[in-house]
Order: sequence, then C-alpha cells, then structure tokens
Amino acid sequence: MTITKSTKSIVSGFLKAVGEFPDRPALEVDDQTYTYQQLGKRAQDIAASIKAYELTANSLAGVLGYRSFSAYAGVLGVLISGKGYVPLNPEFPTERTFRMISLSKVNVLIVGNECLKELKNLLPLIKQSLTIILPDTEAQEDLVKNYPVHRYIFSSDMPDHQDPVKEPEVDGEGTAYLLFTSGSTGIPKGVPVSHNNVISYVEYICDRYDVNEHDRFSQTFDMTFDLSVHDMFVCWQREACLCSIPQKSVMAPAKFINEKKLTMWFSVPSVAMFMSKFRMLNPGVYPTLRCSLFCGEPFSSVLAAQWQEAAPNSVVENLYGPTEATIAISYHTWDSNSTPEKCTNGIVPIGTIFDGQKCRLIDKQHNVAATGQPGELCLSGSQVTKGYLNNPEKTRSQYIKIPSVGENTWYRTGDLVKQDEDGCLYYLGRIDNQVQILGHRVELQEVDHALRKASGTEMALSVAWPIKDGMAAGVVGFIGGQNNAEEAQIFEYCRSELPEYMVPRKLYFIKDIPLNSNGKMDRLQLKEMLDKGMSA
Amino acid sequence: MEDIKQKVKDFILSELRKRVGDIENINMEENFIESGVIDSFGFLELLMSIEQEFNIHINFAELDPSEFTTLEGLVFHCGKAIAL
Repeated sequence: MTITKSTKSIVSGFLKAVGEFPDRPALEVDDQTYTYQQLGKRAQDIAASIKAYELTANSLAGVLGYRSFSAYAGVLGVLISGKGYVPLNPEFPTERTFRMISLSKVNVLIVGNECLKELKNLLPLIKQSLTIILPDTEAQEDLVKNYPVHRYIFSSDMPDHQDPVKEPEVDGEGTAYLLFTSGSTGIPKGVPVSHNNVISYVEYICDRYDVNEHDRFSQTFDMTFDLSVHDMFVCWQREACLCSIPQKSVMAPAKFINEKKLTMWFSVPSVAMFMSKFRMLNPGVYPTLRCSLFCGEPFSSVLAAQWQEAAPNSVVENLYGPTEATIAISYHTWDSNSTPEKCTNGIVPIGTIFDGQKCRLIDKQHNVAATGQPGELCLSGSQVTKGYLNNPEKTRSQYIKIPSVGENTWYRTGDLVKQDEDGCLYYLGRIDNQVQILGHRVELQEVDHALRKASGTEMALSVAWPIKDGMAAGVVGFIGGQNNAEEAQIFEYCRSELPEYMVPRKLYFIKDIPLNSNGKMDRLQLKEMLDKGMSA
Repeated sequence: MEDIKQKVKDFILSELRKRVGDIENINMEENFIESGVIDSFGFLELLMSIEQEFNIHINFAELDPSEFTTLEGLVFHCGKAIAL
C-alpha cells in the first residue's frame, strides 16, 4: 500500500463550485445575494493581496469580520492563499483579541468595514508590523498617520485578479483554522484544526444529510465558534446557499427562517428555548426545513419535541462534539416515539459516534470503564486534532494513550458519559469545572481568575447560574471575606477581560466562602445556596 | 391607545429600573440587547412580567426580534395586544 500525502484544502469544494456553477447563489448577507463567482472573485483578490505582501512563512492569518461579505470572503481568501485562518470577534474584549493575535503570531489581518472601530481599539496594543487588508474600506489617513508601523491595503489598493482561481497547495495536516477556547489558567487555549480533520467531517456530513445545491443553510454562529465551519464548508462543498442571520435576529429567528425559505437549520438549543418562549414553535410553522441540527449544550427533550412539530418535514438531530474533535462527532436522531424514554434528566442522548470515528470510556485510572459504567469520554479518529498550540503540558494531559487499546492517541473530552448496549452515549455532566453558557465553552476557573484579580482576594468563586431547561444562562460571582472591592470596578474589570457570556451577571459579597471536606472552596454549596433562593 | 401605550412604557421603564438601575439615557429606537441595556435572558424575563401585568399574550411568530427589542417596538406591540 502506498500512502499518498493529502494536499486537499477545505476550500477545494468551494473553488470547484466557482468553476462549475459561477452563477449560483453562494451567500446572502446584509440583504445582498452573492454568487459563487462574486464571492470567489473577492476571496481571490484578498488571497492575491496576502501573497503579494505577506513575505513571512507564517501559516496563519487573522480575520476580523462580523457577519459581512468581507468576513466570509476573508476566510475564503486566507484559505485560497494557502494559509489557515484565525477568526477574531469584534464582540470580544479588545484585550482578549489582542492576546489571540499575539498567541497565533499572525502577521496579516483581514478587516471588514464593520470592524473598523475595533481595529482602532486594537492598534495601540500591537507593536509588531502587520499587513492589514481592508477590502471594503476606503483609504483612512488617520490609520496610516497614527500607526505607521503597519502596511495598509485599502479597497482602492486591492489587486483586480482576472485569472481563474488556482487551488492552493496545502499540507493536509496543516492548520485550516485556529480557534481559542476558554482556558482554566486565564489564558485562552489555541486549538489548531487541520484540513484533513475538517474534510473528514464535511464529507461525512454531506453524505449523511444528502446536502445538495438546492439547500439553503442557516448561519447563526459567530466565526469564533467552530460550528460556523459546518455552516460555511458543508454548504459550499455542495454548491448550496449560506444565509447569514443578523445578530439581532439570532435570538428568535422565526421570520428569518420563513422569509429565506431555509432548508438546513443549525443552532445552539438556547435558540429553540427562546423561540419556544416567544411562541414561535407552533405546529407546522417551518415547512421548508428538512434538516434541523442542534449542538453546543444539552438539548431538552421538550424543546426537541416542539421543534419536530414546528418543522414536520425535518429530521431533528442532537449533535455533540468538542472543538478538539472538529465541530461534532456524534448524533442522535429525535424520534417522538422512542427518544423520550431514552432521555436522562429530560436531556436528549448525545447518541452514536460518526462512522469511522472511535470512542472509549475510561475511569479515573485511565482504564477502560466496565460496560454500562459511567466514564470519561475519549475520542480518536480522523476528526481528532493533534494537540494545543504551544502548550505541550496541556496537550500531554488531554491527548493520551490508553494502554489496553493499542497505539492510538485519544482525546479526553472531560465529559462524563455512559453507553448502552447499542452504543448510544448519554451525557451525564463534566468531570471538571467546565460549563456551557449559551453554547459557549466556559472554564469557571477562568472566571474565578478574573474575579480574584479584580477583587484582590483569593476568596472568589464563580457558579454557573441560573439553570433553565438544563442549560446555564450565565455566571454569577461570589466574593468572600472583608472586602473593599467596589462592585462596579469588579464588573468593569471582568468586562475588559472576558467575553460577555462569561461576565458574572451578579455579584454576591459573603462573609465566608463555604469549604468542602478537603478545605477547598466549594462551588456546589454555593449553588445550593442559590437554589434555596438566595437570588433576589 | 396613547394612554395604554404610556402605561406600558411606564411599566417597562420601572421594570428596567429594577433590573439594570439607571436608565435615564435610554433611547426609544435603541435595541435593548445590542446596546447592552439588558441581555437576552433578561429581556425574556421582562417580557414575561409585561404579559403577566397586562394579562396579554403577544404573538411574536410573525415578527423579527429587531421589531420588538426597542422600547418603541415593544411598547407598540404590547399596546396592540392590550387594545385587542
């Protein structure tokens, strides 16, 4: 057997569509429709600018864009240039974005016009010289004057490329995108995901849902959330059309689904929860949907049943997967007859591992757990990434060998699950302090860290609260002891350090933080205090 | 109708004051959630208390959130539901 090195990029499917079906719609955003030709052209011009001005060997480039033509063209342009993209989010605190730029060492930024303000916040922090490409912004003299260390390419400087787009040459194991997840030490963890990882996922999903050129995809996720990769690259792989939902409509997108005649839905379950409360899940209201996927947090069976009634022509599936295993790696298809009795605590099972990927449950000693016993879920296969960016220690602790099952490397998810005889997986909880807030992964230690820095006391702890339909709606903070820290200052510090969903919604100043039997501050007791009605 | 709207507006402002404190600078056309006055869960709670207070059910199914997450939009749609 000869092993040929894969050189396929995740952008290959899109480029094929540009060549074969240039006039099909590829993207609807801001009330504009762009064909494959138009989106491809802009992406190619961005790629040409990167190639012309980026002379270093760095394999990554940043994209600071938000639900705009430039954001999508930016992602595609970076990939066409042969680099991987690092999505940056103007909704995140500037400090955090700056840290992502530093950690990923990018030398190139693609910036959408909607993020100009955030760029101006960032530039005073950035010392090294960058190439900043602003494809839809006219020349800005103040930028050039105030921050002359960088090279700017404004809309009028963009190359106008007429040649057919060439496939980039990439190493299949090279990074397609780099995402950052919440880290317990207060520094976000970088997860590089390779072209091979993503192609495995995209090909499996395209076949699984028989995606075709008539499909119209929702795009609900921010690009800093890896589920957005599904939206973009599953859609474009099969010449379908991506419909970007404006941020202000994401919470309750009933009108959007019907106006855009969406066929493929993908969101966090929280969106279904909001829609249910807004009475937007009445029977039969979404006849065009044929496939509804939910991922990112526990999916309540009540919501799944309501969604199924509202979208009677749609399959409804709960997907599960950590960023480290590329977007999603297991599924459970909702069946109104058989699923309800399979639900634990009213939560839909995370289901069956995708064909070709593997899972094992391990106990605390890293032995394979006995059949039927709860254990930590470990994953292996073509979708599983190789480790964290510049963090060998964390990589060693999460990417392990399980001696009794051969030489494979297994990613430890930190999720406690059990598995039945049919291989169906049931989510039981976390083995650590990670929680999901509106689908975002949050290490509570990272919030603790911010609270401690802000209050100047070590006696500070965060709790995921309140819990609604099995989902955490936010975080609250506890500050212990005699404390002079001002509430407003603590909030302000947290807002400057943490994305909005991680900022405590409320602070409680209490005399003593309860301790557990080991003398450690006890989150569980604080949660019980809240349960008993401590919240006003 | 203007009476009803004023009553709804007063109620919303008093609820907002309870939840987020100072709201003197609130603008009629500003999106509550985008501008950070209140988060989406807070908005949902606000809505529940309005529905309870005026004993109404607002039909949101045909609306985009941009139409009811401003003070103006919310007052309009609540007023409409009360007048029915």
